[in-house]
Amino acid sequence: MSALLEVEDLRVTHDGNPIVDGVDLTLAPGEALALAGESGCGKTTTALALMRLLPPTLTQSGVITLRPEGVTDPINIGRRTETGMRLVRWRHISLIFQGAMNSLDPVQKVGKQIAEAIGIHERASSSDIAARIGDLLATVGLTGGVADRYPHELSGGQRQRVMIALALACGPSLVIADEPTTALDVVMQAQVLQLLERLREELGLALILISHDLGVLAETCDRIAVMYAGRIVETGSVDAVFAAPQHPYTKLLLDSLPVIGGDRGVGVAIPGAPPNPGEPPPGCRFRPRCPYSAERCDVDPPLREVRPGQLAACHYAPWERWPEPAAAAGAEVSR
Amino acid sequence: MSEIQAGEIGTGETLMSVSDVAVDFRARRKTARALDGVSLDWRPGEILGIVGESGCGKSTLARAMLGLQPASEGELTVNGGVVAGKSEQRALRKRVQMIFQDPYQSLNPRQRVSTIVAEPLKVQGIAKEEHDERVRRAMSDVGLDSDRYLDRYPHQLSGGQRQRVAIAAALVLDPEGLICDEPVSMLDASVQAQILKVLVGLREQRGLALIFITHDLSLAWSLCDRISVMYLGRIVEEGSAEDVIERPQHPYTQALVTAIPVPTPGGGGRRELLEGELPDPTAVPSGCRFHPRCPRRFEPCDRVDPELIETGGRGQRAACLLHDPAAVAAAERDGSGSTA
Repeated sequence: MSALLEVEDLRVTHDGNPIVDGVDLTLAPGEALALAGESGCGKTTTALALMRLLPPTLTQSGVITLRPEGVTDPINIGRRTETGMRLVRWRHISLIFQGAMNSLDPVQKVGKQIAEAIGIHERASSSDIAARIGDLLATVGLTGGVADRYPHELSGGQRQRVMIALALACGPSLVIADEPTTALDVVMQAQVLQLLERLREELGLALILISHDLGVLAETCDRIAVMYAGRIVETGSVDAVFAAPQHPYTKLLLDSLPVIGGDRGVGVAIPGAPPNPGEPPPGCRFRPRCPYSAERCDVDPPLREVRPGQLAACHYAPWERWPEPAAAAGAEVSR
Repeated sequence: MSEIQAGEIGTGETLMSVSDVAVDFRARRKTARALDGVSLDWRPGEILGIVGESGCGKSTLARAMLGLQPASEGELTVNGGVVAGKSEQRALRKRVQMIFQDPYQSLNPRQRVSTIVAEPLKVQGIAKEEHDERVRRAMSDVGLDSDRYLDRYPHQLSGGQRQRVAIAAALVLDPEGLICDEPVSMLDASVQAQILKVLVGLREQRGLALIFITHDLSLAWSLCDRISVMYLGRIVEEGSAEDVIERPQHPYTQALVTAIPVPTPGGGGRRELLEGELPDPTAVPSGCRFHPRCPRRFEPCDRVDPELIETGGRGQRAACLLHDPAAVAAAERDGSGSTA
């Protein structure tokens, strides 16, 4: 089966500084890919670049090819004009933003907002649209009455469901969800994640889920790409990466998380802080924070296959066993 | 009961006790009871977790404990002395300090770190000669180099550094207790552990008692000695962190624990999730306030409001009629059984 989405050498720069620096991604139809990493690593910028929604101060390059089912010619997203992109957005790729509270129009009823999204892509009678809105709201677990409400009359969880309904309105084959549950409580978060999973099964949707919460990603996705300072530093199946991470950054991120039933106490801290976006340090970008760094690390490591199907950008991968980290852990925080 | 003396060292069993505290918010003609009959003991050197969904009253409880939110009922005792008036509140704040979720909003952007950290000393009227030394000590306690950071402004610091500054300002009065309202939820994973290390280190080095208010149950489980679970203004379960999270006895806690995303592939799997959302606090359900969402409700739950009932013999208590043998027996006798 050919890939639904192929991204080759995606770069985004701000005044010549690389925010996203050579990202490759592929996604099969119906697949769920996790995009992990801390704030400022380029996750959201990558998502916006895939939608061609970057602000004008940022420049993007690279080839982005989308092959939705039933569309004969592949869509070359990187080369589309803005007018051309309007036919692609929401129809073939949708984006669920972080913080649903702020991305709905506060002065329009929910139903009208969904109707507008449908209206951009097709002509349909108002009774058809009303029926579709009812179906969409039901799909995301809301009652039809929500269509007559304003966003402020809904709870955070309900608004996030409305956002998902909007994203689904035109039947896209790929949905990008950027921190869709970050503002939600654990119960609401679990409800929204279960909804996304159900939609994947029922509609065959492919999903790119962006989150800094590795627990959320592990539960929802098939594959994961971990980003650090504008690059993918590790990628592979969720099972493989979580069971045996091959990049020190991934390993330390996993070690910093408490796992109920495991050891109590504070997890391992990663010393220091990520570099400012667009200002990566020379050599391996993780080197200044890496407790395992050694002499080869002043050369920038390529992302390469280190175990079957698992890629890591670390000279010393594959790691059979992690040595005791040097005194680096707990060092003075500085940037 | 004695009044709290400034600077008095805690010798009591508890650093602070909250007894039957209620807080009401009035909006037009409606009253929302944000806290309803909440009691808890916070012991010296203890890390106490307060968990629950947003809107459950956990932050209101923290504010009430510091006297930042007037209580409509109940009382606060610190070391055996009732906190009644302004002067006691001022003394209270020397002993118990608070840090907030958002280190980007809780620091004055126009003040240098040195001024921010020294501010509590000024408010409490501590002699000026002592300021510099105490500020530097607090900075070193949170792992920040004074020479490097005291002259900076908040915008020149990273999120983790700002939270450290907030902690330093809270520590400068040498409090016995620190209430932390979601102290790391705005920080990145790798920085979270750094801040938690600082906080737990303070407990180990100087016996600082901590209250962790959080919606992150894994975090509460990993750090706290005891946990209280809140639902709609009430504590519905309390006990040791291991008992409450690994062997929850209240259906609400069970639902919260089930909902935690697990960072192990396939660890979550299919699960039964709580339906619906937290009800409107101006219209608290009858009987057990959790019954409309409870998967295990039975006959009396919509009329009987359960108290906290001892469940394990190790101090774990749950406000659920399933732990009241009389209620369960009566329901079985009537043959009504569980409706779920």
